[in-house]
Amino acid sequence: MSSRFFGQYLLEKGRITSQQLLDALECQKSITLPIGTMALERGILTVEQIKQVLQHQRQTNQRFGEIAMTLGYLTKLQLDELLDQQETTHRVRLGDALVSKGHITLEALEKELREYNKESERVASETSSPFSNVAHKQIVKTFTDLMLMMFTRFAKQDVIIERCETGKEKVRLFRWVISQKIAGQDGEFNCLLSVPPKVMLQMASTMLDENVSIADELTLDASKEFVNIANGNACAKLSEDGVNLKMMPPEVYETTIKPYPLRYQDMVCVHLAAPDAKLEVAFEF
Amino acid sequence: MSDGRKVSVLAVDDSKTMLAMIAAQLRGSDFEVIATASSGPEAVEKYLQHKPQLVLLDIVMPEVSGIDTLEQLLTRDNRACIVMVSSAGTEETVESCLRKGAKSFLQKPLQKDGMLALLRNVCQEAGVEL
Repeated sequence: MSSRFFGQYLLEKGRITSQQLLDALECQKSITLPIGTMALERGILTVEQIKQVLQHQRQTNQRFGEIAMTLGYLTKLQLDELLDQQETTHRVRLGDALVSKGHITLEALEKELREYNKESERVASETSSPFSNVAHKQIVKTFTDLMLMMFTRFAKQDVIIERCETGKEKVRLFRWVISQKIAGQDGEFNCLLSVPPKVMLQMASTMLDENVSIADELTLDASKEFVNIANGNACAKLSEDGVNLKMMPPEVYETTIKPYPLRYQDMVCVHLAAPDAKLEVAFEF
Repeated sequence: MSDGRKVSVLAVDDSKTMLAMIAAQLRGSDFEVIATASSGPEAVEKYLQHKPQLVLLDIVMPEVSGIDTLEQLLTRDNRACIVMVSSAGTEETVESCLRKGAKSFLQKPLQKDGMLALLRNVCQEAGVEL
């Protein structure tokens, strides 16, 4: 569960060049089984059904699985299982592709995979998940985990999850709200970080690497970037699981001057606590 | 660079904070931010004006995205050496940027050592003298 995909990890470590990554991704595509083929092998779809899905795909540019579900050929559960299986073999196959193309040795690949998995385990152990009964669990958990990581690893502040609740009335909204719209295949949602002034100044101080004491334009900009980085890392993480999201630029609201306009009924609020302050991450679906 | 000059950098990000962070992280290195831009159109203008050896280009920006800006810069100068910078380093995004001609991809938050190592690699591959 690293917040980077394996190829980006190798690129940043200088183990491969961008050209080698592109080369391997191309090769990987040729050996990653398409969802349709996997479904055919398991007897879930017929050749005729696959042809119909592909015909729709040419017209709509939607993903194969989405169209198959719309046409009633696949259930959500079946699609999730197929995607899971595709994902499980995906990372190994990028490594295979790099080795077969001669861009990395098998020994080096094993070492890098070990370190990558170790990093992933470290990330997983730093996050927690009291989200068992929450709707949109995967999104809520991932975005909250990555926000916590920004506080604990980057800002060196201990922030913990107190509880997770659903419902508009559970959201407290502190003085500052940084909101970011995230769009996905199933619609869009807003991810909010709501903090008191003290936390806002701490976030800005971290980003600017200097002691910030007033909420001026630069402080607001720094806080938005703090949220943007956390959410971007969450999107990157979710893309590893086949969830593709796109972020819009974040916006900041001072709720004492202008109330934050809650837009949707379906809300999840994760209450967080720093040693000397409360804060919250909320989601409007 | 071998004669003591630094690699000139145009940093593009709609966040002033990120521009300040990039400049701070490159301080004392082989790289120097000679110009900044806070939008895609400004990036194209500054690029043509300063002809930097390297561009660090944010992806999520209002109005014109970093990916569109990448294409616009490469249309004007197909030898432009551009490294994309984003917090959302998804496989799809990284691949799309590299395919469109970016030289590499940096994921935020930027870590100084990793960032400098990646930029040095990019310069070596692109023939920019360090």
